[in-house]
Amino acid sequence: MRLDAATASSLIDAFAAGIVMLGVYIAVTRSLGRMIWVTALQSMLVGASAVVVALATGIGHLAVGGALAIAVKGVVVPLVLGNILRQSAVRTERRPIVSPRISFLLAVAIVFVATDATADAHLGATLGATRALPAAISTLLTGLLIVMTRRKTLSLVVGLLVFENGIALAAFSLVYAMPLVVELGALFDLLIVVVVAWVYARRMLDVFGTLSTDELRNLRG
Amino acid sequence: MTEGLVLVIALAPALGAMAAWLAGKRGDARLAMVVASAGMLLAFAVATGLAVWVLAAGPQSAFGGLVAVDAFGAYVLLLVAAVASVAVAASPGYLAHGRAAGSLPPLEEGTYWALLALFAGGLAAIPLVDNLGLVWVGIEATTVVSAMLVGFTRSPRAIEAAWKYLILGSIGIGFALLGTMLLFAASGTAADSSNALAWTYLVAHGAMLDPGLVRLAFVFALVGYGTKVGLAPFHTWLPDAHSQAPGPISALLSGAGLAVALYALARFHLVVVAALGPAFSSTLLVVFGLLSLAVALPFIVAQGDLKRLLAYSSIEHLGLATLALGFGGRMALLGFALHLFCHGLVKASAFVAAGRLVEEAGSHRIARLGGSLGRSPAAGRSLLGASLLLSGLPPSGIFVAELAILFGGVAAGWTLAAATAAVLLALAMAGLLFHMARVAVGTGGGRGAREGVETESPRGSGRLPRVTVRPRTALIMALPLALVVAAGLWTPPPVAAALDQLVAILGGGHG
Repeated sequence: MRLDAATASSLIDAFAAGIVMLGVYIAVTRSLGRMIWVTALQSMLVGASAVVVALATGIGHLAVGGALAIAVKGVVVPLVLGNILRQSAVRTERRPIVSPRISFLLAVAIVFVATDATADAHLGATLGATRALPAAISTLLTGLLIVMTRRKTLSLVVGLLVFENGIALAAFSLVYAMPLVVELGALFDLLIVVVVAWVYARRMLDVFGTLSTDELRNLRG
Repeated sequence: MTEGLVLVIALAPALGAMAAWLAGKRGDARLAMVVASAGMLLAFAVATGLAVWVLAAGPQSAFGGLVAVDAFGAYVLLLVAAVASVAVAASPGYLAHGRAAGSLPPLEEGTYWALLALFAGGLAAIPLVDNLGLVWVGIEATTVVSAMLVGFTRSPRAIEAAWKYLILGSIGIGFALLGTMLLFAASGTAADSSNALAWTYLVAHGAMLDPGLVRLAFVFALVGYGTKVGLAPFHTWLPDAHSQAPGPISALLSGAGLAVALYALARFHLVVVAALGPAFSSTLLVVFGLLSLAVALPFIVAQGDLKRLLAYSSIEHLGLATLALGFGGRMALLGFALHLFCHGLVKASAFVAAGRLVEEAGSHRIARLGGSLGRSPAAGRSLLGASLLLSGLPPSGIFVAELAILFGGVAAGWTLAAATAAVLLALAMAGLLFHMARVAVGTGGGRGAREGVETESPRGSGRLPRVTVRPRTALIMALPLALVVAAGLWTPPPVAAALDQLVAILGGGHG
């Protein structure tokens, strides 16, 4: 199957818009369960963009990378995170550092800033899809926003995943493809990060009895 | 030939790790130690051989260009092998002490050995690969593995440190991935992607790279690998992780882990120099190097925690090394090379010794640790010796390196930066020696000890018992220090030749 460039670029633009909107939703919602599954959906859209680019350009291993990203970040990682969630008593981010309303404003501001900042950027390999770069940058920044404004360990992992989705979107849609071995290595690393985060979240539950990073205030100076 | 050596370096620690983990599962801690150590020491011996061969016979490559080792890679490989050997040798003592004190999670010694082998093996693999993407994969992988080791004791503080390290490290290094991708895009050779991330290719074809993308790529790489090097203001995870990790792990993190991250940043820098000339990336390296020196200083002067003191000293020293890389020029780069190696050895010894003292006393507080020289002579002397060397006093390789860096900076036209660095180094020296003198001869049971109420529950309030260590442990701590002192007095001709090759690579043809 082969996609022509015009269809591919409009598909990627549509995916990019979806990825950005899901990112804003993740930044605003306080339900940890919804955060996890919406992030999974976002990861799948990123993987799907990779598959679209692969179909349009004929770079076969990009499709492999995209499919693996869908499997790992869309299925395996959310299962691991869901497991942590079931073991803890927490279901919502009760007291985020900023209120959902402010989060929403910040997330929207990020989208505008990213769009504006990338207006003049021209990368060689864009397939004519103009939304991918601003979407990638704003997703990346949204991930940082989540990491900075949340207190629950699970939210931080989700923020890291959103951040990583931004990078992956940039990789898949802008430079087309890193060498496959690098892509696989990066994906594998991400998987281990999540597993290690899982291990530590369980230890935190054992030691602190909570998943809130409020307890993590002992190391100063 | 090269293929075989590289395979041993890559596979022996991994196999050792697997065997150690299995042995640990069966409750045989001793077997775990033996197999993991055997795997690592075999790999380090082969790595040393490979490095010496490269330094004598010139760069080697293997596996269709995926592996390439030049003098710079060989030098970093030697450093990793040396520092990791210290960490391996110090680990049985650490584990035995933890077992006796009951401070270790039960049945986890096999896991410790497995993770140590993976961490050390990963560090050794990074300078071998000729692909900036795989360098990134390796650095991320070592981050994750070492995060497991940082939280090994499962104390609340260790878990906090490991968590911060995992999240901040992963985000920081995400930026490095973005930088790597942008560099890939800058090469504009998507069709020929097999070598577009090979640093050998990128340095050779610097002129063909898109300058705007290269500039952007370096900024992201600086943030990403700068986080791992511990450059301010991305350093906040470092004092936590390096202070909470077990002593031998702190030694490996500080002595080799930081140097390997700086190696990755330096490879990026060399590509940027080849593409844009030295001005852009050198200036950034000088700025962030100086900033790290400045940020570390107050935390060294006002430090109350022994291992955090050493961690901030690492930020200071890696800042200096980054500064030297930015200065460029033959003299500063010679200083860079000498400094990186000597700092690694001294810091490894210092962390092993500090780890012993901290574990014996059950407290990190400097005020609680006074009088270590009388109480625990071997560790106390090593720590004092390491501190004298770290502060830059002669005779030592660090003293010579610091002089070379500062004068090299002036020679390269960075007079103001070099003068500022000299002042910062002098102040940090005073701060470090003040605290270390307290640890060596201070009164451990004095006023400070009563004030230092701690959740870590120091054992009793009276004087701590006198401790003796096995001669082997004393040797592990003293030998690296002796080497560094010797490096300040005499440079054997083969070492001088190796340093010359290294400087030629780092000069990138502009020095």
